[in-house]
Amino acid sequence: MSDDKPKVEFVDNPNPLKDKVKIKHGADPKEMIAKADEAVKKLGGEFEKLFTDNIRQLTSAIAEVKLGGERQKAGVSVLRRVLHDLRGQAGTFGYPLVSQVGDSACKFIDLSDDLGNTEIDVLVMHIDALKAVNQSKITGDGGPIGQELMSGLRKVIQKYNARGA
Amino acid sequence: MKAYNLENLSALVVDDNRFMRTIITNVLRGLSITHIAEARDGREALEEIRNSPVDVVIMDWEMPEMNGAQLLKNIRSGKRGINPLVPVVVVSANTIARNVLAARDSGMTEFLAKPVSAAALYARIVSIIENPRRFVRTGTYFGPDRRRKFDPDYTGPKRRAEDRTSDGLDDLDAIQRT
Repeated sequence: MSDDKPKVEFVDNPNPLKDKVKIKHGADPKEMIAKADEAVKKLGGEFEKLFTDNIRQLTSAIAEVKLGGERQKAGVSVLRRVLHDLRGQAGTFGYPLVSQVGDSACKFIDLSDDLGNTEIDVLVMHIDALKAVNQSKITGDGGPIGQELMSGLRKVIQKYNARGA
Repeated sequence: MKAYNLENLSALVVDDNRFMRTIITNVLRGLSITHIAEARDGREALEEIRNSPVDVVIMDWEMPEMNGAQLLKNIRSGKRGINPLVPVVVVSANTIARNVLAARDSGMTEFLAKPVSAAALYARIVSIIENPRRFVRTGTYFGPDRRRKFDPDYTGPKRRAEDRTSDGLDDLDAIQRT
Protein backbone atom coordinates (compact mmCIF):
# COMPACT_ATOMS: atom_id res chain seq x y z
CA MET A 1 0.00 0.00 0.00
CA SER A 2 1.30 3.47 -0.83
CA ASP A 3 2.20 6.07 1.79
CA ASP A 4 -0.10 8.77 0.40
CA LYS A 5 -2.71 8.45 3.18
CA PRO A 6 -3.28 11.79 4.90
CA LYS A 7 -1.85 12.21 8.36
CA VAL A 8 -4.39 12.31 11.14
CA GLU A 9 -4.28 15.09 13.67
CA PHE A 10 -6.24 14.82 16.90
CA VAL A 11 -7.66 17.93 18.55
CA ASP A 12 -8.71 17.87 22.19
CA ASN A 13 -12.32 18.75 22.85
CA PRO A 14 -12.46 20.95 25.96
CA ASN A 15 -16.19 20.15 26.40
CA PRO A 16 -17.36 23.51 27.76
CA LEU A 17 -20.89 22.13 28.15
CA LYS A 18 -19.83 20.09 31.14
CA ASP A 19 -18.75 23.26 32.97
CA LYS A 20 -22.07 24.98 32.26
CA VAL A 21 -24.41 22.29 33.50
CA LYS A 22 -24.92 20.88 36.95
CA ILE A 23 -26.19 17.50 38.01
CA LYS A 24 -29.47 17.78 39.88
CA HIS A 25 -28.81 15.28 42.61
CA GLY A 26 -31.85 13.32 43.60
CA ALA A 27 -33.84 14.58 40.61
CA ASP A 28 -35.37 12.24 38.08
CA PRO A 29 -34.73 13.12 34.41
CA LYS A 30 -38.11 11.59 33.62
CA GLU A 31 -39.73 14.59 35.30
CA MET A 32 -37.80 17.02 33.07
CA ILE A 33 -38.72 14.98 30.00
CA ALA A 34 -42.39 14.88 31.04
CA LYS A 35 -42.33 18.67 31.42
CA ALA A 36 -40.84 19.03 27.93
CA ASP A 37 -43.44 16.62 26.52
CA GLU A 38 -46.16 18.77 28.09
CA ALA A 39 -44.67 21.89 26.45
CA VAL A 40 -44.86 20.18 23.07
CA LYS A 41 -48.35 18.78 23.61
CA LYS A 42 -49.61 22.35 23.84
CA LEU A 43 -48.83 22.66 20.12
CA GLY A 44 -51.19 19.78 19.26
CA GLY A 45 -54.04 22.10 18.20
CA GLU A 46 -51.76 24.01 15.85
CA PHE A 47 -50.55 20.73 14.34
CA GLU A 48 -54.15 19.59 13.68
CA LYS A 49 -54.74 22.81 11.73
CA LEU A 50 -51.48 22.47 9.81
CA PHE A 51 -52.25 18.84 9.02
CA THR A 52 -55.56 19.84 7.41
CA ASP A 53 -53.83 22.67 5.49
CA ASN A 54 -51.19 20.19 4.35
CA ILE A 55 -53.87 17.87 2.96
CA ARG A 56 -55.19 20.79 0.88
CA GLN A 57 -51.68 21.56 -0.35
CA LEU A 58 -51.07 17.91 -1.26
CA THR A 59 -54.38 17.76 -3.17
CA SER A 60 -53.52 20.80 -5.25
CA ALA A 61 -49.88 19.71 -5.73
CA ILE A 62 -50.85 16.28 -7.06
CA ALA A 63 -53.21 18.00 -9.52
CA GLU A 64 -50.19 19.99 -10.77
CA VAL A 65 -48.11 16.81 -10.98
CA LYS A 66 -50.74 15.25 -13.27
CA LEU A 67 -50.37 18.16 -15.71
CA GLY A 68 -46.79 17.17 -16.58
CA GLY A 69 -43.92 19.37 -17.78
CA GLU A 70 -42.81 22.34 -15.71
CA ARG A 71 -45.99 22.31 -13.65
CA GLN A 72 -45.24 18.72 -12.69
CA LYS A 73 -41.77 19.75 -11.53
CA ALA A 74 -43.18 22.49 -9.34
CA GLY A 75 -45.91 20.18 -8.06
CA VAL A 76 -43.43 17.45 -7.11
CA SER A 77 -41.32 19.97 -5.26
CA VAL A 78 -44.32 21.09 -3.15
CA LEU A 79 -45.44 17.49 -2.69
CA ARG A 80 -42.02 16.37 -1.45
CA ARG A 81 -41.65 19.33 0.93
CA VAL A 82 -45.11 18.91 2.48
CA LEU A 83 -44.73 15.13 2.82
CA HIS A 84 -41.28 15.59 4.35
CA ASP A 85 -42.61 18.10 6.90
CA LEU A 86 -45.50 15.81 7.77
CA ARG A 87 -43.30 12.75 8.30
CA GLY A 88 -41.08 14.83 10.56
CA GLN A 89 -43.85 16.31 12.71
CA ALA A 90 -46.90 14.03 12.83
CA GLY A 91 -45.37 11.35 15.07
CA THR A 92 -44.67 13.94 17.76
CA PHE A 93 -48.41 14.65 18.00
CA GLY A 94 -49.69 11.10 18.16
CA TYR A 95 -49.95 10.43 14.42
CA PRO A 96 -47.17 7.88 13.77
CA LEU A 97 -49.17 6.50 10.86
CA VAL A 98 -48.90 9.87 9.08
CA SER A 99 -45.14 9.84 9.62
CA GLN A 100 -44.96 6.33 8.14
CA VAL A 101 -47.09 7.18 5.10
CA GLY A 102 -45.16 10.43 4.57
CA ASP A 103 -41.86 8.56 4.84
CA SER A 104 -42.99 5.95 2.33
CA ALA A 105 -44.11 8.65 -0.13
CA CYS A 106 -40.87 10.67 0.25
CA LYS A 107 -38.74 7.58 -0.36
CA PHE A 108 -40.86 6.72 -3.40
CA ILE A 109 -40.35 10.21 -4.85
CA ASP A 110 -36.61 10.13 -4.06
CA LEU A 111 -36.18 6.80 -5.86
CA SER A 112 -38.32 7.67 -8.91
CA ASP A 113 -36.45 9.16 -11.85
CA ASP A 114 -39.60 10.04 -13.73
CA LEU A 115 -43.20 10.33 -12.69
CA GLY A 116 -45.52 8.67 -15.20
CA ASN A 117 -49.12 7.60 -14.66
CA THR A 118 -48.14 4.55 -12.62
CA GLU A 119 -45.92 6.54 -10.24
CA ILE A 120 -48.60 9.21 -9.89
CA ASP A 121 -51.15 6.53 -8.99
CA VAL A 122 -48.85 5.32 -6.21
CA LEU A 123 -48.53 8.85 -4.86
CA VAL A 124 -52.30 9.41 -5.06
CA MET A 125 -52.79 6.30 -2.91
CA HIS A 126 -50.44 7.75 -0.29
CA ILE A 127 -52.31 11.06 -0.29
CA ASP A 128 -55.65 9.24 -0.03
CA ALA A 129 -54.30 7.36 3.00
CA LEU A 130 -53.29 10.66 4.61
CA LYS A 131 -56.73 12.10 3.86
CA ALA A 132 -58.37 9.11 5.54
CA VAL A 133 -56.22 9.56 8.65
CA ASN A 134 -56.97 13.29 8.71
CA GLN A 135 -60.73 12.91 8.26
CA SER A 136 -61.12 10.06 10.75
CA LYS A 137 -58.49 11.43 13.18
CA ILE A 138 -56.72 8.07 13.31
CA THR A 139 -54.13 8.46 16.04
CA GLY A 140 -51.56 5.93 17.24
CA ASP A 141 -50.95 2.96 14.98
CA GLY A 142 -54.57 3.19 13.89
CA GLY A 143 -55.45 -0.36 14.99
CA PRO A 144 -56.87 -2.65 12.27
CA ILE A 145 -57.65 0.33 10.00
CA GLY A 146 -54.07 1.59 10.30
CA GLN A 147 -52.66 -1.84 9.58
CA GLU A 148 -54.89 -2.16 6.55
CA LEU A 149 -53.78 1.24 5.22
CA MET A 150 -50.09 0.47 5.65
CA SER A 151 -50.28 -3.05 4.28
CA GLY A 152 -52.23 -1.73 1.28
CA LEU A 153 -49.46 0.81 0.55
CA ARG A 154 -46.72 -1.80 1.04
CA LYS A 155 -48.46 -4.11 -1.45
CA VAL A 156 -48.74 -1.29 -3.99
CA ILE A 157 -45.02 -0.51 -3.70
CA GLN A 158 -44.03 -4.19 -3.83
CA LYS A 159 -46.15 -4.60 -6.95
CA TYR A 160 -44.53 -1.50 -8.44
CA ASN A 161 -41.02 -2.74 -7.64
CA ALA A 162 -41.80 -6.16 -9.16
CA ARG A 163 -42.77 -4.61 -12.50
CA GLY A 164 -39.28 -4.49 -13.93
CA ALA A 165 -38.18 -7.78 -12.35
CA MET B 1 -29.53 8.69 32.95
CA LYS B 2 -28.65 11.63 35.19
CA ALA B 3 -30.78 14.75 35.58
CA TYR B 4 -28.90 17.89 34.49
CA ASN B 5 -29.75 21.50 35.08
CA LEU B 6 -29.38 22.90 31.54
CA GLU B 7 -30.51 26.47 32.22
CA ASN B 8 -27.08 28.00 31.52
CA LEU B 9 -26.84 26.51 28.03
CA SER B 10 -27.42 28.52 24.86
CA ALA B 11 -28.95 26.64 21.95
CA LEU B 12 -29.43 27.53 18.31
CA VAL B 13 -32.28 25.87 16.42
CA VAL B 14 -31.93 25.88 12.63
CA ASP B 15 -34.85 24.75 10.48
CA ASP B 16 -36.57 26.25 7.46
CA ASN B 17 -39.93 25.09 8.80
CA ARG B 18 -41.33 27.51 11.39
CA PHE B 19 -43.46 24.92 13.16
CA MET B 20 -40.54 22.50 13.45
CA ARG B 21 -38.47 25.25 15.05
CA THR B 22 -41.33 25.86 17.49
CA ILE B 23 -41.50 22.15 18.38
CA ILE B 24 -37.78 21.93 19.13
CA THR B 25 -37.76 25.26 20.98
CA ASN B 26 -40.64 24.07 23.19
CA VAL B 27 -38.78 20.85 23.98
CA LEU B 28 -35.66 22.80 24.90
CA ARG B 29 -37.65 25.24 27.07
CA GLY B 30 -39.29 22.25 28.76
CA LEU B 31 -35.78 20.94 29.49
CA SER B 32 -35.11 24.32 31.17
CA ILE B 33 -32.90 25.84 28.45
CA THR B 34 -33.88 29.50 28.26
CA HIS B 35 -31.30 31.00 25.88
CA ILE B 36 -32.60 29.78 22.53
CA ALA B 37 -31.99 31.46 19.19
CA GLU B 38 -33.69 30.45 15.96
CA ALA B 39 -32.44 30.56 12.38
CA ARG B 40 -34.45 29.91 9.23
CA ASP B 41 -31.50 28.89 7.07
CA GLY B 42 -27.78 28.30 6.99
CA ARG B 43 -26.88 31.95 6.45
CA GLU B 44 -28.86 33.12 9.46
CA ALA B 45 -27.36 30.28 11.48
CA LEU B 46 -23.77 31.27 10.64
CA GLU B 47 -24.56 34.87 11.52
CA GLU B 48 -25.96 33.79 14.88
CA ILE B 49 -22.99 31.53 15.67
CA ARG B 50 -20.57 34.34 14.82
CA ASN B 51 -22.34 36.94 16.93
CA SER B 52 -23.64 35.06 19.97
CA PRO B 53 -22.25 32.40 22.23
CA VAL B 54 -23.84 29.13 21.13
CA ASP B 55 -23.24 25.97 23.18
CA VAL B 56 -25.15 23.56 21.00
CA VAL B 57 -26.60 23.73 17.48
CA ILE B 58 -29.70 21.70 16.64
CA MET B 59 -30.13 21.75 12.90
CA ASP B 60 -32.28 20.38 10.15
CA TRP B 61 -30.59 18.60 7.25
CA GLU B 62 -32.83 19.37 4.27
CA MET B 63 -32.95 23.13 3.85
CA PRO B 64 -33.17 25.29 0.72
CA GLU B 65 -30.14 27.27 -0.49
CA MET B 66 -27.56 26.31 2.15
CA ASN B 67 -28.38 22.72 3.12
CA GLY B 68 -27.31 20.92 6.27
CA ALA B 69 -24.10 19.52 4.79
CA GLN B 70 -22.99 22.96 3.60
CA LEU B 71 -23.84 24.58 6.92
CA LEU B 72 -22.03 21.90 8.90
CA LYS B 73 -18.93 22.16 6.72
CA ASN B 74 -18.99 25.93 7.17
CA ILE B 75 -19.16 25.50 10.94
CA ARG B 76 -16.34 22.95 11.02
CA SER B 77 -14.18 25.17 8.79
CA GLY B 78 -13.93 27.60 11.73
CA LYS B 79 -13.70 30.50 9.31
CA ARG B 80 -14.73 34.06 10.23
CA GLY B 81 -14.80 33.62 13.97
CA ILE B 82 -16.92 30.49 14.12
CA ASN B 83 -16.17 27.99 16.87
CA PRO B 84 -15.48 24.82 14.86
CA LEU B 85 -15.84 22.60 17.93
CA VAL B 86 -19.44 23.55 18.71
CA PRO B 87 -21.56 20.42 19.18
CA VAL B 88 -24.08 19.91 16.37
CA VAL B 89 -27.13 17.68 16.58
CA VAL B 90 -28.50 16.94 13.11
CA VAL B 91 -32.26 16.40 13.15
CA SER B 92 -33.74 14.77 10.08
CA ALA B 93 -36.75 12.76 9.00
CA ASN B 94 -34.63 11.27 6.24
CA THR B 95 -33.02 8.36 8.05
CA ILE B 96 -31.74 6.32 5.13
CA ALA B 97 -28.15 5.21 5.77
CA ARG B 98 -26.73 7.39 2.99
CA ASN B 99 -28.16 10.50 4.64
CA VAL B 100 -26.93 9.62 8.14
CA LEU B 101 -23.45 8.78 6.81
CA ALA B 102 -23.34 12.08 4.91
CA ALA B 103 -24.14 13.94 8.14
CA ARG B 104 -21.48 11.96 10.00
CA ASP B 105 -18.90 12.66 7.32
CA SER B 106 -19.74 16.37 7.37
CA GLY B 107 -18.86 16.56 11.07
CA MET B 108 -22.07 16.12 13.06
CA THR B 109 -21.83 15.31 16.74
CA GLU B 110 -25.15 13.50 17.12
CA PHE B 111 -28.03 12.45 14.86
CA LEU B 112 -31.65 12.62 15.89
CA ALA B 113 -34.46 11.15 13.80
CA LYS B 114 -37.67 13.08 13.40
CA PRO B 115 -40.35 12.89 14.71
CA VAL B 116 -38.60 14.41 17.69
CA SER B 117 -39.31 13.34 21.25
CA ALA B 118 -38.18 15.14 24.40
CA ALA B 119 -36.56 11.94 25.70
CA ALA B 120 -34.50 11.47 22.53
CA LEU B 121 -33.32 15.09 22.39
CA TYR B 122 -32.40 15.06 26.10
CA ALA B 123 -30.45 11.82 25.54
CA ARG B 124 -28.42 13.47 22.74
CA ILE B 125 -27.60 16.48 24.95
CA VAL B 126 -26.55 14.18 27.80
CA SER B 127 -24.37 12.20 25.41
CA ILE B 128 -22.60 15.43 24.37
CA ILE B 129 -22.03 16.33 28.04
CA GLU B 130 -20.89 12.92 29.21
CA ASN B 131 -19.09 11.52 26.19
CA PRO B 132 -17.26 14.35 24.43
CA ARG B 133 -15.27 13.04 21.51
CA ARG B 134 -11.93 14.44 20.49
CA PHE B 135 -11.82 16.05 17.06
CA VAL B 136 -9.97 14.63 14.10
CA ARG B 137 -8.42 16.44 11.16
CA THR B 138 -7.56 14.50 8.03
CA GLY B 139 -7.04 15.72 4.49
CA THR B 140 -10.77 15.51 3.84
CA TYR B 141 -12.47 15.70 7.23
CA PHE B 142 -12.60 17.82 10.35
CA GLY B 143 -15.06 16.91 13.07
CA PRO B 144 -15.69 14.66 16.04
CA ASP B 145 -13.85 11.35 15.92
CA ARG B 146 -16.10 9.05 13.95
CA ARG B 147 -14.85 6.09 15.96
CA ARG B 148 -17.09 6.03 19.00
CA LYS B 149 -15.70 2.78 20.36
CA PHE B 150 -12.16 1.59 20.80
CA ASP B 151 -12.29 -2.16 20.62
CA PRO B 152 -8.96 -3.86 21.37
CA ASP B 153 -10.24 -6.96 19.59
CA TYR B 154 -11.13 -5.05 16.39
CA THR B 155 -10.08 -7.04 13.34
CA GLY B 156 -11.44 -4.92 10.49
CA PRO B 157 -9.45 -2.78 8.06
CA LYS B 158 -7.27 -0.08 9.63
CA ARG B 159 -7.62 2.98 7.48
CA ARG B 160 -5.51 5.60 9.20
CA ALA B 161 -1.87 6.06 8.23
CA GLU B 162 -0.92 5.87 11.92
CA ASP B 163 -2.68 2.55 12.31
CA ARG B 164 -0.40 0.78 9.88
CA THR B 165 2.45 -1.21 11.28
CA SER B 166 5.98 -0.15 10.49
CA ASP B 167 6.71 -3.33 8.56
CA GLY B 168 4.65 -2.01 5.67
CA LEU B 169 1.79 -4.45 5.83
CA ASP B 170 -1.23 -3.23 3.99
CA ASP B 171 -4.77 -3.54 5.30
CA LEU B 172 -5.39 -6.92 3.68
CA ASP B 173 -2.27 -8.39 5.25
CA ALA B 174 -3.34 -7.03 8.59
CA ILE B 175 -6.75 -8.71 8.30
CA GLN B 176 -5.25 -12.05 7.28
CA ARG B 177 -2.78 -12.07 10.14
CA THR B 178 -5.30 -11.33 12.91
